[in-house]
Amino acid sequence: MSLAKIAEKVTETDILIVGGGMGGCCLAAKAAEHGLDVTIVEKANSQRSGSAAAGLDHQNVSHFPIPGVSVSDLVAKFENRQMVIQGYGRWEDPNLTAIALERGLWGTEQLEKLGIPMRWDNGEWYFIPGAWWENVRMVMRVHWQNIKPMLSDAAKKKGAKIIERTMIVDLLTNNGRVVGATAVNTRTGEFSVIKAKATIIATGHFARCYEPETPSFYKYKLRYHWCPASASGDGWAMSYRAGAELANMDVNGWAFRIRDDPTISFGNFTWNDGITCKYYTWDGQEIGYATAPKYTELERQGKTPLYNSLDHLPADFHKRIEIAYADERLVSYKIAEDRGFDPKTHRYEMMANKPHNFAGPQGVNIDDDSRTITDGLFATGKCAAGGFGVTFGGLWLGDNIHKHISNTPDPTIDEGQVEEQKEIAFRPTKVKDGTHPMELESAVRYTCERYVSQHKSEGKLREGIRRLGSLKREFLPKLEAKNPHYLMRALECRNVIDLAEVHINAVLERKESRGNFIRMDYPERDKALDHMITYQRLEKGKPVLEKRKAPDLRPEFMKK
Amino acid sequence: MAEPTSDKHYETNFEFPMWKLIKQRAEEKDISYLAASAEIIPEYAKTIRYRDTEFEAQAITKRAEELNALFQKEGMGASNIKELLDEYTEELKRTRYAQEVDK
Repeated sequence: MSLAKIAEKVTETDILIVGGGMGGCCLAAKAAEHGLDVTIVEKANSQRSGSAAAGLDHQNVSHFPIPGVSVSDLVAKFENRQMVIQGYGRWEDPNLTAIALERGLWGTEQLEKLGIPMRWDNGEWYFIPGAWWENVRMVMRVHWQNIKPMLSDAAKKKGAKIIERTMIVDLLTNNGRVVGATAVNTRTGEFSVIKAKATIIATGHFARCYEPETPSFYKYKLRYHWCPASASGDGWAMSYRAGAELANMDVNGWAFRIRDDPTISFGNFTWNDGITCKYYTWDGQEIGYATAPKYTELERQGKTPLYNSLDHLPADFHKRIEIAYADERLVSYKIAEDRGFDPKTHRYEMMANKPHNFAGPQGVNIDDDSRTITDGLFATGKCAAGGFGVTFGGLWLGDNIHKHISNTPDPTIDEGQVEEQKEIAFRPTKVKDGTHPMELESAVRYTCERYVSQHKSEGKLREGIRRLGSLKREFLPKLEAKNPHYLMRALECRNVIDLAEVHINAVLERKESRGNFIRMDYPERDKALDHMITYQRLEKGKPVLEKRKAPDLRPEFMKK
Repeated sequence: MAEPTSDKHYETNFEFPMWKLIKQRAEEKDISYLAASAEIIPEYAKTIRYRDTEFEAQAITKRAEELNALFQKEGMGASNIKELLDEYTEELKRTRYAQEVDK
């Protein structure tokens, strides 16, 4: 059957960007500056989509030269930061971090050229004092309440096209090369094919196989920043199915669950412009911080729940928090007031320190040029494993992607593959009295919470894999979609299950305990696994798992 | 402060000062909270001692010292973060930093 008969619409473009969040919009704007035909496909509305939908109050950036500080010093600091959660070792390619750090000022200038306000009323940038490294100001305070509409508009102004409310079903491949994707409109149900010379995944991180930070188990994730509703791992799952490699899926992003979610973000709560918050046990004993092993010990001693306090902050710093609330999430005021939570006087419950997302070094494995191991496929922002960061990663790839497609032939689409993907996308419309996507997603979350989560063992993990397999076989084909919106939810559910499976398989193969990763049956760190990253991919449909040593920083970055 | 596990702890009625200003501005001008906040934030930011670096440094140092004392007392507890970071620094000295050029 011809393509025109299978799909209602066929779009041809140089660059297909999957995801119109911060990274995708930055990338689109820069790539369009080079005269490329750029198309973003966004499953929500790029005006308010992704992790920064509600706004952003800070931007991590380095402006070299920094007196007395070398790029290699800063790279080590980034690595130390990962180690607080993940434990000893190198968890990502430090060369990507170094590239981003060295060119931080370039990234800031590019954002300003796109019309993104970064300077304060005195014409200068304001860096938050002491944020994660004393004396080195690396986190810029920005009032980016409207960063998403600004970036979306900037991308359009540069000539990028944005196809809103459209969910990618899967990537299209031909002879091992990604040549575009199929998509379904979440309002009209229109099925389309996008042919592209290069496809870039920019869908952010993955979170939805665990409970949200707030205990709304049965809902799509509400918290906007670490666990936004969008974080179903679409880009990771479709890249994996297309042959790309995922990295570090055995380890998680961790944080305290914050009851009722009145806070702006855990990060701000922690730093508060350089002044760390206080942690107390329920009976009033102050503790420094609680990593997962420490939290477990406190729980064993009957000292939990823990409470967070800001009552030691000077009044001026409380005012700064108010500004941050407004910049990142205006509705936080109302939530906090409704709960009777006044940060000046109240201690706030920090629920269990548990894995809740994959927003650290995990993601699609890329090289210096943001290429995955699959031809024609790139990844950026939080979608990529480690390194570049969201805005810089997007801008950097956008500025360089033209070099990678100059000799690329026009993509050829396999109509049979398009038909298969259409069948997958629309199967839920044919199911009657089936399973609601959230029912299945909740079952996946339950499986990960119950059988993986904090305290892992081979028996629990094997049972988890068995249950996940059963959900995939029995319930995934029974998902029902009463309207096009739920076609998207069903596709998200497929992605969540695929990634949960990858996750548990990876956890099974890490036979040690390290950082927040606790195997009850392997309680010690295995030094042979220092710096070893777990990579997973599909080869001819079969899962392959490899552990390879993370590269070290190249000599070119070692100059003082 | 009320006992954190009690209902009383969450019964305080209060308003964030800036949120109050945003609501007032939104009502006065019949605009959205979002639009009102865009006007209020720059005004409110001017009342904050962002550029008083001496005050900032003093407040930050005070808390850093408290925290250091707490970590000393706790011996970093079960987390061993400091020990890990020290071990990594030692490894970098033996490996990565051994390649350093143009010091």
